[in-house]
Amino acid sequence: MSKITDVANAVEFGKSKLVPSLVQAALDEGCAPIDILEHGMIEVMALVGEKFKNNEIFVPEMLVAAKAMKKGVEVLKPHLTSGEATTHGKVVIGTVAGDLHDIGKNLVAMMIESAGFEVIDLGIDVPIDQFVEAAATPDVNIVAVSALLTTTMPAMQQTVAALNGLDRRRSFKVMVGGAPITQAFAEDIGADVYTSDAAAAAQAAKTLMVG
Amino acid sequence: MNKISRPLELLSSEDLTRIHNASLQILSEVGIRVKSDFGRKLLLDNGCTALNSDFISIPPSLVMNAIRKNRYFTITGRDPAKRIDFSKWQSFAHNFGSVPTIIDPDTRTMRDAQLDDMIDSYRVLDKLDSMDIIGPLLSTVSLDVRIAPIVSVAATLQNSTKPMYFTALNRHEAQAIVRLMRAAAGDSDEPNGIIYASNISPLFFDDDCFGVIDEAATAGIPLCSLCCPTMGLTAPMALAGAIAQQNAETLAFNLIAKLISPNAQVVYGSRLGFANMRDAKRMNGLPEEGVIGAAVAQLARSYTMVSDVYGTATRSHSPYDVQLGYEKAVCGYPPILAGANMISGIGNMSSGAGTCLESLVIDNDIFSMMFKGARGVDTLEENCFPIDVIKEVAHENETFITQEHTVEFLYNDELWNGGIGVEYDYSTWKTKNTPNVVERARKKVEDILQAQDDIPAIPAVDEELAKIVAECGLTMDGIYTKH
Repeated sequence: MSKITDVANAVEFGKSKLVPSLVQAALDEGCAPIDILEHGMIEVMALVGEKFKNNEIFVPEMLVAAKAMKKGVEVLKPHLTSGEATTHGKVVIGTVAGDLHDIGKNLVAMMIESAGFEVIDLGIDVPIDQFVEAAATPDVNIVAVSALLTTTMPAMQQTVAALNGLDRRRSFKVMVGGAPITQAFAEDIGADVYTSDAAAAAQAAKTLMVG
Repeated sequence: MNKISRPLELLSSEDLTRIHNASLQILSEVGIRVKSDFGRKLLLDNGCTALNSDFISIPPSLVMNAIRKNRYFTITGRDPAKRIDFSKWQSFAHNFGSVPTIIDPDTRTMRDAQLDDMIDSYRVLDKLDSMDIIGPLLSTVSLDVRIAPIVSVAATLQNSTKPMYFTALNRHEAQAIVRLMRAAAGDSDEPNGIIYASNISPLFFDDDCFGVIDEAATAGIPLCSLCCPTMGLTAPMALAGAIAQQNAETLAFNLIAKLISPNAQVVYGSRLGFANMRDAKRMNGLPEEGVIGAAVAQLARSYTMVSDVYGTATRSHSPYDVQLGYEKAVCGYPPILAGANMISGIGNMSSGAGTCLESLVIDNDIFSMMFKGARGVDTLEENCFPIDVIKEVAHENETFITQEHTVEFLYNDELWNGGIGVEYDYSTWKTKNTPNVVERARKKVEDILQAQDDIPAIPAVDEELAKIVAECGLTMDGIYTKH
């Protein structure tokens, strides 16, 4: 258990360079991969998220922790049986057509992944058809759509409209976000959830899936 | 704390020389008006010459000899961690003083300050991080006028852990203040504050002013020459000329203190201001106030003197008024950037005629931001050029927000953090129904006042105050009346 505690401490304080070797050490000692994931990473990230929510830490602290977890998961993944690495569901994420900004989208992806989701990142400047095609996949639970520019807000509107037209629309939720996006705009275009930052997005995704 | 990276130099060396030479010319050709037998004898016995029955000419050589004796010094508070060393490149904030009215927290209108307001103000000031030196913020009509300033001094000493400043109007007050300060200091030899004295502009030093200088200098307590000329009224309308006259008055003050005690410490206190020429009433809050403060910081440094200048002052009458914010920032920032040592203004409203406890908290924030700005850019700090991090982010298409270096510097005070201002975007602000800055300041005031962490009383101060009150033919019970 102490090796898992080492992993947990390193993840909490964002020691990305240290975490892979600590995860390997925990595996070498015989710790179950799922225990390392659950107790060394996901529980810690929940704690980090709580601290952020309570204004005890800043965004970078949360993100360095998420990045450290990602590095650990890379070591852990080959040792996990199918499905073990993701506990909450599958999320498709991308920045809308015409918009080349990816920092905010990447941060959301990182936070959602560290919250226990599998993330399919479609990248930037994603055409509507690509979002639709990904959302049509049966096991996708959430489609997260990002836009940074006011000029690409119409593309977000069109993307969400296309997603809303899918037969399996009731099987997935649509989340939107980005600097110019507001709750009112999200409601106008028919999205299910708007969040203002990466931590809130991860929390909202968990709420949607776990309650 | 409040470190200055590289003081802004508003005046060129030629400007400094012109002002200095004009001041020497004023002192030798115009002279100072002396209405004090003690003062007149002191100056004439030491090389000055009488121009007539009032005015005494001071030769440049005497002024320069006094300047050469100047040294930086230290003062301490009851809490040794709040000790101030003026030889370091730092700025320190202090509150405005002797304000007669305060905004009532319940009615939100100005009323006469009461003794309770005075005590509350000290408790708040003592807890504010950017507030370094405390003096009597309020003057109250509730106290017997014969003893009011002395009771204020005792109340300040009893309710503060920081170094202090007090204003004495005459020898009698100075004696009482020295006694109370010594009672508070106990066994410590280090001064626990500064005594302020003012001559009367232009160039008039009366017996009261000489009395205060004599008492403080003899007692080894640092003095501040609080020179208060008003441009267009008691000083020339030209900025340079007004600064030169104030400089002459300050150099004369410094000479007098050094003649009384060669080791006397004198702060260059600049309160050169201006009047509203529509009604000839003195006012604060114009940009020239910041310029004068910056110029004086430089002049004082050239004389190896600690400077004390106007800072966050304003004509505004309300903490809700945006004028309060911009005038305080415009007036306060130049002297801080210029490396002024002591900067006044915490609590100043209505050009010094009013205040409120919320404004103390707001000004604390303003000072905190200005002090941070004055620290400049540190190019020697470890890891301040993180080439490896830049490489990692650039080559691996990452962002700096996910780097440990970002967290390290975030906690290394690289960005100003804190304060009571609104920091969220509009939608979050709207959703959270965030209190405005004055409401937040009020909350902080209430938290401080409700906290059960009163500063322990110093019995020796109470005992000394009782003696002084008795010597004035008064009783402690009879000096306070609630209005």
